[in-house]
Amino acid sequence: MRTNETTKFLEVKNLVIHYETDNGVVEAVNNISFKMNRGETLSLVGETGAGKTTTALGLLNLVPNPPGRIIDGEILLNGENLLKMSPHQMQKIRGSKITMIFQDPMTSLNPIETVGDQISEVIRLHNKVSRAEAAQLACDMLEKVGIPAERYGDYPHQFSGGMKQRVVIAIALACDPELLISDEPTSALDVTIQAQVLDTMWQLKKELKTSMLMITHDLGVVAETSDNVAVMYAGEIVEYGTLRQVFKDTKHPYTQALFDSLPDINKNVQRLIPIKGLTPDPSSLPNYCSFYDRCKKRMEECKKTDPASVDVGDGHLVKCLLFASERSSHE
Amino acid sequence: MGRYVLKRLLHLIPVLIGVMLLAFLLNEIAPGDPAALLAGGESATPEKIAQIRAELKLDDPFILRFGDYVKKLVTEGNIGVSYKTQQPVAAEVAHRYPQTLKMAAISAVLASIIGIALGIISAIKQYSFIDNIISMFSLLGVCMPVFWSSLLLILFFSINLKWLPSSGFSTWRHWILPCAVIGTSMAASIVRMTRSSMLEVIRQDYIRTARAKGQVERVVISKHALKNALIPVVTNIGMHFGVLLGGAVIIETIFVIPGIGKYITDAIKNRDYPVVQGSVMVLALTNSFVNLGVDLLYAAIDPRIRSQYRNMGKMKMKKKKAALPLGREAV
Repeated sequence: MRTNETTKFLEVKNLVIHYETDNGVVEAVNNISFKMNRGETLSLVGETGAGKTTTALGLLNLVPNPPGRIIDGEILLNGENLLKMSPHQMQKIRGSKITMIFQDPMTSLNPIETVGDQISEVIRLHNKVSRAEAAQLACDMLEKVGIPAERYGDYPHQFSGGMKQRVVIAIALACDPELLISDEPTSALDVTIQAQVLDTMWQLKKELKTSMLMITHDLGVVAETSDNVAVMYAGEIVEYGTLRQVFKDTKHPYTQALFDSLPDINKNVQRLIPIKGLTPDPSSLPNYCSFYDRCKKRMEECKKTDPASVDVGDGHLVKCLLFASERSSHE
Repeated sequence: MGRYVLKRLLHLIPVLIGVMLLAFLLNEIAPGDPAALLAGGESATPEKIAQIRAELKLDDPFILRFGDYVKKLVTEGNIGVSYKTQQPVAAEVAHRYPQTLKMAAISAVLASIIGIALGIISAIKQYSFIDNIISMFSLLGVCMPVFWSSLLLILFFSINLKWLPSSGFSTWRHWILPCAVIGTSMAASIVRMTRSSMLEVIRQDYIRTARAKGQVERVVISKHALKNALIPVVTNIGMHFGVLLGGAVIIETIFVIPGIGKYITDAIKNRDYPVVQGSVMVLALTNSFVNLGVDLLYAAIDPRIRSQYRNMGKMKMKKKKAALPLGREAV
């Protein structure tokens, strides 16, 4: 990979997360690995149910347990394995080093606490400051996300969806995190508000030089914001590379199909091309390539083996047999 | 907020008038003749009965008697005089109500503390051994009829062990058994309510947000989850408390406690209408206050309800303004 060993910041190795329910084991995340550099933005794209959110929750060790369980793998932040940490150590990381912006702002805030208190709570947890100082910092944070500080004492129900998401962003950025995970931060918002919220997030991310793991299924947002892109399908990363590699030199048939299903303003097409079929049931994944049933370029061999990720050049990883012969397997 | 309380207090007037009228009407249509009972039942002579009816003005038309009652209530604050003892009802209620109140208060406080604590434990240790034990006992507590558990406790603690007195109300030891019986059945229902409410709240997104801030689990539960989970529990406690204030007739009978429940049932048996009338009014009043207390407690917990109360007045003003012809509000 292109990663320079000295700046390696986050490294996820062979992460496996399952949900063990009465109706069987749901294999949400299957053996995924990726690396991030400090200050980098990595986008995790994929359909609903591809395991994006579970991966993110895994990084914070917040996978709801039961039924969820991190089966295997390593998550190294600055070389330290988060999965080996005590609950107490992990609490110190959450909210200060790694923070998360959740998908639905409507339900992400405690309805009976003032927004100011919810921001100052995280400040007080990770900084040795007095109540008054924390309140002042929380006010500053509100101003930074574009909410007047006078609204410190207001409750979430007095805010609109976009404003609530700004509060959630303020909470996530209050302690100057090293890694910000944003889980579809705008998919519950109106399109006009989406742009505003993304913009705010963007400004702050740049200002604070935060690394960011961006979970989304909006390829437009990805194109605008990311350095690197990981495409997830059925709990696996099927293609990984720089923005340019994935968008301009698309290799995996699934990624290709995703782009084909998008409307293009420059092309005059009557119909978009959908990806036929459904994502496989994660409680009974096939032991061959999980995209086989929907793949347009499938071959006989595809049904025999589960392909490994291959580096097709400059750290561009593709998990497809079509490219298995091009380079040696990436392990 | 003050407006809201004032409005609720003013609502008491129509409620009390309604209760007064209903109680009077029910006494009117109930079968049985108080005069006949006072004259000595079966053996009474018609002359004697007629004489008593005249003394008690039972032969006057309904409207006259009701008017007379209201007049006395308003001018003298007199809620009635017992047919049987010729004593004012208010004095007797003042003498008996403290016993009922004491029993209800002790039971409710104990039941709330135990019930909420066990409910929380049960919820955060869902499906564990301790949860199963608590759930089983709470089910048992809800199902056991109080007369049966009273008798069992008396048999065990008073007769076999001779630790506690089986009846009376003079020392604190007398209160243990009746309060234990009421408290257990009430606590059982609070446990179940708290458990289900906590389980619902724990799955909410804002609990995940609190954890993602790095908050310690104890605070996540006590600050973020419990306060939100308490709202339905408070309703439950308030309802139980209201019922208890009406007198736990069975308990008062078994443990020979001169409370208000026993007073009313005896009065009904004796056709002592003024007693029924007066006590029902007192009960209606206290129940209204309990309800008001519960509603205010809601407001204390939940800011959404608080702003609802605050807006009630404003909304009426707006409606009035809207009803005016255009341009009028400028005047």
